[in-house]
Parts: sequence; structure tokens; C-alpha cells
Amino acid sequence: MTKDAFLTELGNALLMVPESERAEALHYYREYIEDAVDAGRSEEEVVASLEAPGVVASRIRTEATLARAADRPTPRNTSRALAAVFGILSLPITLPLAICIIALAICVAAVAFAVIVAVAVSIAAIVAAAIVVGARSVYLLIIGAMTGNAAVFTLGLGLIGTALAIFAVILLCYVAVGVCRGVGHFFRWVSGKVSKGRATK
Amino acid sequence: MDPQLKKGLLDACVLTVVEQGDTYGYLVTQKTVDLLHVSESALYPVLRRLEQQGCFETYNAEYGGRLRKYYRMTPVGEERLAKTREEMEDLYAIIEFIMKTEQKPDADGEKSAKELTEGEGK
Repeated sequence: MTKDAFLTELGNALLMVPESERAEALHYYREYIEDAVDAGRSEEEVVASLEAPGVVASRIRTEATLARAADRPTPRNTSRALAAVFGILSLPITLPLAICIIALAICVAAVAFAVIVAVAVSIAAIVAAAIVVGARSVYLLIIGAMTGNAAVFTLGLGLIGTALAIFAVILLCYVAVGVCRGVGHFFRWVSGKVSKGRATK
Repeated sequence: MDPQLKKGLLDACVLTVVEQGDTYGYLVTQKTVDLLHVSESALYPVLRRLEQQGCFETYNAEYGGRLRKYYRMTPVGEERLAKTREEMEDLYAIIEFIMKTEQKPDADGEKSAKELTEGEGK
């Protein structure tokens, strides 16, 4: 890559940064490459050694964000600084990627919640049905409308239904906990990938 | 090396280089890059931040028909470096301790570890 190509791309990657910072950085790297060439290195070699303009820009953006948060600690600046520290803003594809990850996480959490609610409602229905059947057969037994095998059979059904429902509730609790843990692991995986990317810089 | 550690050391190294004499970006970079194994583009954010924090003042001087930006140490920068050097004093002792324990040979190593734990038990 030539000096001008590098500086153009760097300038583009810094459009999100305050104009004074952008100008300062471009001035620095223009001088840097010229000094290196004066010292006998080739333009291509220096530019390659500086790494990709995107990487250079992300270092500058991270510093700018942290500096702004230190100067003016508004909630917006502080959360941006936190994001920078966690490496989200310093990724070359910054905002869109961050939005995608957050949206995906919300979807996962929403789906998990919906599933749990659906299962819970189903179990509630079963429990209700079991209780109704059991109660009705007890009632019928008492008033003598149902006798013998039919009565025992229906009562048995009711009891089995209730037992199954209780068992299902316990199972649901385990599943809910498991799902929550799963979502937690997912978040940890995401932030692990992000900070791993940052650590290699 | 741990990235956070590297970042702190980079600040100290840059301060030291500028203390040694007014200098410019390329020169600072060449002096620190091999020492800390960082990319050449890692230096600019440090120089910029230290300048904004008042550790450096800058001026332009002509060189070969163009203007070059020079960095010069300020009293604030000197104080920052002095403080860092104080912290490094403690670091000396710690590093020495770590390096010494490593050098014990294997045969004696087992014995010495035993001596250490027995000694602590007394």
C-alpha cells in the first residue's frame, strides 16, 4: 500500500472521531512515513509495518473514547468508554456488529422466555385438569353417583395426572435454570471472543 | 506479556525517551518498539494521550524542507516519570525474588521445597 492510500483509508476510518483528532492523527502518520523513508526504508515496508489502517484507526478511536469519558463523564461517554474497554468499539466493524450481537442476545433471551412460559401454561392446564377430574370423581363417589370400577378408575386417573403435573413442574424448574445458565454461558462466550480479540492487539 | 502491563510500561518508556531529549514520533517509536515488542502504530495513542495530559509540550521545527513535530518534557511529565520510577523500585525486589527461586536445580529443588515448608511449620 502506498503512503497516500494508507492515509486516505486511515482518514476514512477516522470519520467518526472529532475533526481535530483526525487531523492530528493524519498529520502524525504522514510525518512518520516520511521520516521512515528518509531513514532509508521503503514506503511499502513502513506502511505494512504500521498494520492495516482499520487497526490503526481502532487504536486511535479507543483512546479518543477513553479520553472523552475522562474529560466529560456523562453517562453516554462513560458507557462508550466501558464499551471501548470491553473491546466492542475497538473492533473494525464497530457499531453494526455491536448492534447485531445485542439484538441476537435479546432474541435468544426472548425465545428462551417464551418457551418457558408456553411450557408453564401447558403444565398449569394439565394440573388444573387433573385436579378437576380428581375432585369431581371424589365428589361423585361421595354422593354415590359413581360406583365401583368407574369411580376407582377416574379417581386413579386424577391422582396420576396430579402426580405427573407435580413431576412436570419440578422438571420445568430444572429446565428454566438450565436455560438461564445457557444464556449466561452464551454471553460469556461472546465477551470472551471480544476480549480475546482485544488482547491480541 | 500481559497487555495491561505492556500498556503501563509503554507509557513509562515513552516518558523516559522524551526525558532523554526533545524528540519526534519516528524516533520515539524506533527506541521502544524492539524493547516492548509492540507494533509501530501503538506509539501514537500513547504520545497523544500523554500530550493531552500535559506531560509533553510540542513544537514544530523545520527539517529537510518540511515541518516536524517535536515533543518536549514538562514538569508534569517529569513528576509522572518520577512516580513511576518509585514504583519500579519495588518491582526490582519482586522480580529478583521470582528469578532467584526459578534458578534452583531439580535435585535440590525437591529438597529445598521441603525445607521451606518445614521451616514455615516451625
